[in-house]
Amino acid sequence: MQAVLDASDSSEWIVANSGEGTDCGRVVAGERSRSVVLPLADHVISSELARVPQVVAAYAQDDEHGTKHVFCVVAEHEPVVYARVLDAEERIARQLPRLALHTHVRAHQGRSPSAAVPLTSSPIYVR
Amino acid sequence: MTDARVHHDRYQYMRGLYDAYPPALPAHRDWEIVVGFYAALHLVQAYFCTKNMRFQAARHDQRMAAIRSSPELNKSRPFVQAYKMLQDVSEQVRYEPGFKVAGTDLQLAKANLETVERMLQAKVNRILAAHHSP
Repeated sequence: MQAVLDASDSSEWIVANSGEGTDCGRVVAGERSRSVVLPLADHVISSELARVPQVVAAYAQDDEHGTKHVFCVVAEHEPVVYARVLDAEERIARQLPRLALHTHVRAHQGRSPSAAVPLTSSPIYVR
Repeated sequence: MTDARVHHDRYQYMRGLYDAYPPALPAHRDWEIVVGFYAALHLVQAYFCTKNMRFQAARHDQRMAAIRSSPELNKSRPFVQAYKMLQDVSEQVRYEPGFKVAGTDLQLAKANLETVERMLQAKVNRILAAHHSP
């Protein structure tokens, strides 16, 4: 399923694919009906979180209000992690201004990253 | 202003509970962080109740979005960081039984709650005092 996240220009749309397995999509958009290949929300999010060295994995889940919850798994809760995750969140917001995103930091404390996130979330990034 | 006062009263109640927690339950201090987070949440809610409607938040994600869209709060990275850290650690305490709270988590939670208070307490007190009806 594809969802439009931003439409700053009628000929250039940013789209996201909330399905699994792909990281980009092709759409026909705008009055000129030209095809554009654009990044997907999960791809943007995982690319930005990959820039935070402490984040070893990220899991995502959408809620019933349309908010995307992203769980950033780190070793322990530390102030430096939060500063970097907040920076990443700002970069994501600039790229996906209409995405309702709520990041959560989760400490794995030496366990498997999946042990620290909700069972209903899906991995979008594993280092 | 009634809602602001109600949230401020709840903040004071939770803050008292937070202070009473360590001596009362020294072997089970993990939930002290949850109490500390809810003290912070009610102080933030009290503050937002003094602002216009677009800052009213009913859910955690809406509240964080309201914080991020409040220049006076968002410009102070320590405030956002402190509130977020309190929220995330408290969520992990509540929902993830394998999570173990360390001494540093307790110290950071206290420092984070104090950061939130330093930023908001005086503002809220001033506004509530200005609207005080004898």
